[in-house]
Amino acid sequence: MTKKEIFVNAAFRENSVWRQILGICSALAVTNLMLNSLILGLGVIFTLTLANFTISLIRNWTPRSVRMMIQTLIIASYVIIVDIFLKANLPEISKQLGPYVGLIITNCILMGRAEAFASQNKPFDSMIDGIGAGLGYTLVLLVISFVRELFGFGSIFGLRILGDWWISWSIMVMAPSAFFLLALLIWAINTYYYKAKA
Amino acid sequence: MDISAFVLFWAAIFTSNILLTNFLGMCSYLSVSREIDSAMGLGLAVIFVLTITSALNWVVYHYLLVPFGIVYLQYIIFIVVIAAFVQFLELLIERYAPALYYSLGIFLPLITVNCAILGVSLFMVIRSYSFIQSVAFGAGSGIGWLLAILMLAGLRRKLKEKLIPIGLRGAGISLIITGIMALGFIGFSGIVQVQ
Amino acid sequence: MKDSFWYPIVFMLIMVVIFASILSVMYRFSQDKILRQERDSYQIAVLSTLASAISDYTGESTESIMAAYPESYERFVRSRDYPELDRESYQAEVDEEILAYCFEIRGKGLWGSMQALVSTTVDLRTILDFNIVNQHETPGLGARIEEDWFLSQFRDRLFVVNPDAEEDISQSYEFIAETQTPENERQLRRVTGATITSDSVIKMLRDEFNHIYKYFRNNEL
Repeated sequence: MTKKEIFVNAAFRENSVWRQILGICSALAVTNLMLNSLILGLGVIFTLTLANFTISLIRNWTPRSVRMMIQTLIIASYVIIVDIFLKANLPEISKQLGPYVGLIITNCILMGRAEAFASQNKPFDSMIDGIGAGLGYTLVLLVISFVRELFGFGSIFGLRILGDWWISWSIMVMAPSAFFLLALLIWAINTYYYKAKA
Repeated sequence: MDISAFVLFWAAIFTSNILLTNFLGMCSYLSVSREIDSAMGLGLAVIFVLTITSALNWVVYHYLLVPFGIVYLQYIIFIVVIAAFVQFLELLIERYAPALYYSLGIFLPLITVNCAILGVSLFMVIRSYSFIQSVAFGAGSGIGWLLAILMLAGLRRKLKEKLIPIGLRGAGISLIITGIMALGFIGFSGIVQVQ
Repeated sequence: MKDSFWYPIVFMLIMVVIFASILSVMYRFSQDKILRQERDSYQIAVLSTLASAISDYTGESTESIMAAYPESYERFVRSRDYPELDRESYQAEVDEEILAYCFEIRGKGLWGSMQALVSTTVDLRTILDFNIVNQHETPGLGARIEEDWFLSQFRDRLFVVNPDAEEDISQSYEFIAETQTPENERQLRRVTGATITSDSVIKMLRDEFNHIYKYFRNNEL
């Protein structure tokens, strides 16, 4: 596979959220604001890229029996780096994201990509796979949070774009809307795939 | 501060269900909800592990991480405590209760990566709960999770595959059902009075 | 070599040591910055709670007072220490004249403790400004108590009317729906979908105001 194919594959064809329904735990809770989604998405991209790179770098020396432990250790370390960075530079956002930064560790995408790709491929390829998968994930977060913030607050990235006449839909801010929107997204994409296949 | 543990317990089950309002533990929720029996098994295991690990992590946090000034390592330590406890439990059940191991044991490895477990420990720290509050919150969250997965498993059994549009089958329809359940749970939001 | 008993253990240990040292070095470098950020954001909250009182006296706009942080904090705000009151206390002063007091108050919400800053007139009867500094309510619902329309309702409100009679006016405040318009001074708009949190805010103000007022009836300001 060429580098470009690896990227496209990770970001779209095998997109973790809509193709494999992975990693939505930490995804949905922060999607009522676009800025939070973007920051969390960047955190995932950073962690995924470097964790994939590191895991792939040491793959030939890693003993099978402690493989999972090592992967968790590496992922958790990068997540802590993200956490320290946010606390030091973006304290407001760090407070809003609360436990969801730490929950990147148990995000199934990280373990999934580490197992499926990084533990069998070259470091540089794994990095590209990480960037691709992370971008695909962030894209899903942004699409959902775009709808939720627009209808729920009348704004985009905190900038109010719908006027005072707009009555915000509380339901978009609350949890159920995230489930419905993700379901609709998966529905639309699956239908597209089935059509393309036929 | 001094919210009664009892109130927290009920609030964790109904008014702020760990899955329906905090979205934690979605992966195994979607994949194990095909049959009621396995949903029940996994749910029980989650309640048990969640209650014990929130107690363990509370002790670790207050008597190890804070005194040594290594709170910034909490994510690693918490996940190690959870993984070690699950591993230990697996060995123990396999050794002393083989029958239980065959019905419950297969779910144990799934639990380590269940976001709900780590999530509860992190919430406990952020909201600075006391020991009793943490245990009550852990147990309540576990029961809430079991309730959610049992309801989904029950509803999925009644679905007629043929009537669902092809793109919506599986995960899509499960998410819509979950959304409706979450809407229903909003109705509980008045039952707990904090005074 | 990879199959030997010790190899995995040694490998694991090496990895733990490497990552733990990277993280602790990173943390040491960021620690000061994190602590400074925390202190700054708290001081800014105190300053902003007192800003309207300062602005009324000096004529400077609240924006210019806020923009001049940290210099304006040094100039106007003084921290006070009242033993046994057990609340962080500050006062705004210009030329040794006290303009307003600011107290950190605490209460409980639906999910955990709340912390807020409240500034009062020198007779401790009226709220000048009110800001929530820490809360763990449901994002998008209870957490909306941080929004300005909700907080501003508490500005210029009387909270203790006749302390000697132990009867306080705050009992008679009542909540109406967010979409309604208050008809009289007793009505406050509640955050939609967050009844408990809204009630908790009133309860926190009432309890804490009583506590502070009682303390200062027996102690000097």
